[in-house]
Amino acid sequence: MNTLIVTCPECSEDLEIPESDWLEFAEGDVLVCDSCDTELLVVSLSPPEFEVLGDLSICPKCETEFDLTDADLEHHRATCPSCGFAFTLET
Amino acid sequence: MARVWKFSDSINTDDILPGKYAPFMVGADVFHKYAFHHFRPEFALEVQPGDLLVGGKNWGLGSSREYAPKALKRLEIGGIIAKSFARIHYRNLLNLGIPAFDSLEIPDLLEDGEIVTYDRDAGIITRSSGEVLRLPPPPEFLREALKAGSILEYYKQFQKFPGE
Repeated sequence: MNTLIVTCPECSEDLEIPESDWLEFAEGDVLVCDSCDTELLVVSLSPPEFEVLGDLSICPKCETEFDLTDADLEHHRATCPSCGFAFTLET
Repeated sequence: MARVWKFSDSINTDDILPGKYAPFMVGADVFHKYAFHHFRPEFALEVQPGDLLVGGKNWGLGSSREYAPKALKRLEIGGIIAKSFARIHYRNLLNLGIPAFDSLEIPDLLEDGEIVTYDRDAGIITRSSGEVLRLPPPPEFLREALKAGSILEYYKQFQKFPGE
C-alpha cells in the first residue's frame, strides 16, 4: 500500500493518506475531510473502513445522546427522542 | 408569594445580563444588579427571591455565557417557565440549581406582575383566582440536584453526579 485514497461520502472529495500516516491510525481514530470537515470514524484498519460520525447532541434535560438530523441543523432546533424536550441549538 | 416577570420570545443571554456588565467588567459582587438592565431596568431593583420569570420560545439563546444564569441565581430567582429553551443556557440553569420548566401553555396564562403562590418542590403555581397550574416535573436526577442546591453542589457533596 502506498497511498490510501478515501472518498468522502459527503462531498466525494478524494482524501489521500500516505502509508506512513495510515500506519499511525488506530481503530477509533477520526479522519476529518479536508474539504467539508465531515468526521470519519476508523472502524477497521484492514481492510480500511470508515463510518461517518453524525452530529450528536445530548439532551440537556434527560441526558440522552442522539443524532441530530439535517432538519434539526437547518432549523437550529431539536427534540429529544427520549423525553420529548424541545430545545434550540446554538448557531 | 412570587411575582411573575413576563418576557417575550427569544430572550437572549445579553438581554439577561449585558456583556458590558460581566463580573470581570463591573465586579463579581455587583454584576447581578445589572440583570435585564437594558431590557427592564427596574428588574434588578425590584425582583425578590422566589420570583418567577416567564418567557416564550428560545429562552436563553445567544452566547452561552454562564454569568447570565449566575446573575439570576444571585438574585435567587425561584424558577423560569418558558415555551422552549436554548440548549446550553438550559443546562447552565440546571447546573446552578435554577428550576427551568418547559410548557407551551402556562406562559400564555400568566400575566406580567401577577402575584402567585409558587411551590417549587411540588411544581404547583396557584393564582389569586385559585386556579392551579401544574408545572411539568423535572427529571429525577434534577430533583436530586435541587435538593442539594444545584448539580455542582451535589457533586461537591457526593463526588458524583446526580443519577449516577
